[in-house]
Amino acid sequence: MKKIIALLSAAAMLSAASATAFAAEINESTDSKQADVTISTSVAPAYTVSIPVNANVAFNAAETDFGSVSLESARLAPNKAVEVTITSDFDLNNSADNTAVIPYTLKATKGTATETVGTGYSAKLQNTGDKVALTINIAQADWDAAAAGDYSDTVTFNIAYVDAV
Amino acid sequence: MKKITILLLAVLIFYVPCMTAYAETPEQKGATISAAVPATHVITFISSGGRIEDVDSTVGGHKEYGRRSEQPFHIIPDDGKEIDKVLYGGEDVTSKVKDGYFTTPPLVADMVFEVIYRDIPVEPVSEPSETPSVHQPSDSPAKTGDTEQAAVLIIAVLLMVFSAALIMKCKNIAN
Repeated sequence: MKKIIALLSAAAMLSAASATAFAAEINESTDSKQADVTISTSVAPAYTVSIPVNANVAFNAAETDFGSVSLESARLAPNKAVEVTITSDFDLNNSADNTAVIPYTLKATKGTATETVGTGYSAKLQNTGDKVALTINIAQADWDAAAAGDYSDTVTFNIAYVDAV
Repeated sequence: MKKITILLLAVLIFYVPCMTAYAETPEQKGATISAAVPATHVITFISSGGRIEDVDSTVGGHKEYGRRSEQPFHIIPDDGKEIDKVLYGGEDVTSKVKDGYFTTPPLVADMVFEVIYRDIPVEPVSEPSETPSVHQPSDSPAKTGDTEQAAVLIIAVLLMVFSAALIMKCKNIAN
């Protein structure tokens, strides 16, 4: 039994080791009695991004909170960032009649800057806690023109690991 | 055997979190935005001092109407009352009331329709004076009797002038 345990432990130790050191050979005939040894390892990037959950817009509401896209945790390489791209057709579609729509806009606030999210909008997040707050905006004229019924639309968030600049 | 199992589990626990932390490939997730637009809207009526046709209660009565419909309402003041102000959704629409009728714009939300009434002012009744006045105020219209008097006077004057002329003519012939 002890032998088996010892064998498994040795295997585990070997698999956990990610850096391999090569011995440099120095003897009495070597000119230099010095040798450089490079120790290397690799830390893979890791991050967690939270995106908004499904949202329900109250009837006649001009602005509705849509939550935020935020970098919850990040272990990124220098000069790297997490890029969030938002895509949508910006129309809420009537479930019974797909020609009936309610146009809407998304507004993104990063820091103090607010901008309207257009097709292909993207934002780069680098540090834990970086976030883009989103709101759903529907003009009163568009509410007034809307036919009765249930409407919905899907907003897609694409997350990618990219160069920061 | 138990020891081997525990050891293997320990190795697995140590190994799994390292796998899930890598995320260099792009990922996509979606979120759904939904909204509902009602098929009907409610109009609440406040009409103390009169009634709105087709509405039972004068205060706090309410009815449902189809979305985007235009509803005509007939406002009927009580006896001795008249419409003072009409408010629709808080907006003064008194000028849009014609002959007691008001038609709403397309209904797109719940609304409050309020009519405020006032008493019709009672005009003071002037008692007939015992001594009729001789002179009429310059801005008051002439009455029928006065016109007849003036005509008789003019005819009398003309007759007198005509008679005088006739007498003068007769004297000339006699001479």
